Amino acid sequence: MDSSTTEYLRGTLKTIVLGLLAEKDRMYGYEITQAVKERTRGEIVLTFGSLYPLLYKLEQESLVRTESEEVEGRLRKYYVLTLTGRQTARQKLLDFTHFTQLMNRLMQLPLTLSTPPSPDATGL
Amino acid sequence: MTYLTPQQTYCLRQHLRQVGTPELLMDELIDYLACQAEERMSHGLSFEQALAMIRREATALSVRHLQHTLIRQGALPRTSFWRHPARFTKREKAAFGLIQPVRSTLLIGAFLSVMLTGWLLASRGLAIPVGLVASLLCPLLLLLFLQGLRHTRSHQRTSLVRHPALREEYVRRPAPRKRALVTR
Repeated sequence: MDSSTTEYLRGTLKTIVLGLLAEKDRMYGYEITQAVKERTRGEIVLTFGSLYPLLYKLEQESLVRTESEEVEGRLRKYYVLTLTGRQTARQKLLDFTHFTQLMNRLMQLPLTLSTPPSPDATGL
Repeated sequence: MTYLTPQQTYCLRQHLRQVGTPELLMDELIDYLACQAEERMSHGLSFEQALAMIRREATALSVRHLQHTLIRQGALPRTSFWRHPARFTKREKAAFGLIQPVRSTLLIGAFLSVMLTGWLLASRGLAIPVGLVASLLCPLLLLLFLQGLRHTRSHQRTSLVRHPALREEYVRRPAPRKRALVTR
């Protein structure tokens, strides 16, 4: 994952996680990481250091609630969207779709940049 | 799908303890890392290889960063530098690994020096008073030594040096916020 992807990801991580949770009844931390990894074909890999602060924040904002369950002798914490969380997820996804449409319109690759600039070009 | 044995899960727990993971995060991170290890093992890696990879990723630095982020958010109680579990473990080791042998050595040394002094003085004709003092001092020192040993054992058993996360005073304590001061 390059630095620009990380930069864009920082602002959209909340939308990504809310969107994933909206698709399933409940998910646990590693499951979310795996879902992101699989859908992006390994291009975006979340670490626990970036995922858990967000999940705890969503819990604080009452957008998700947690359910703990013992699985394979370990305590597993599942995250479930609350009603407010579901509404927020829907709104965030709509906002993001609108934003990407705007960006697509705005960020057309200029013809001058369609080929990589040669090192000889002085720009004068 | 490969599942971890309780011993392997324990290894992960030990690693997380070593890197100073707060108790409140422990179960969740164990499950996360166990899932990661299981996935790697299902791809053909041995547990040792998976654990080595996890050790490279879940370092003390990354766990501390996560902890600090959660403290800033108010999701975790603030733990002062002096009460950091990793530091506490070091202090515990120092207390039982260094202080006790030094104390025992000093006591045994004092006991032997009293015996030696008693013997030297006795050879100069002061046998009776010195012998009396030595015979009083020696059992006293021996008693002190035994008491020291008993104290050490009870110290370990009752666990006065407890893990900070298990102490009552470390229950959820909200982080002080600058905002609260500003609004006042």
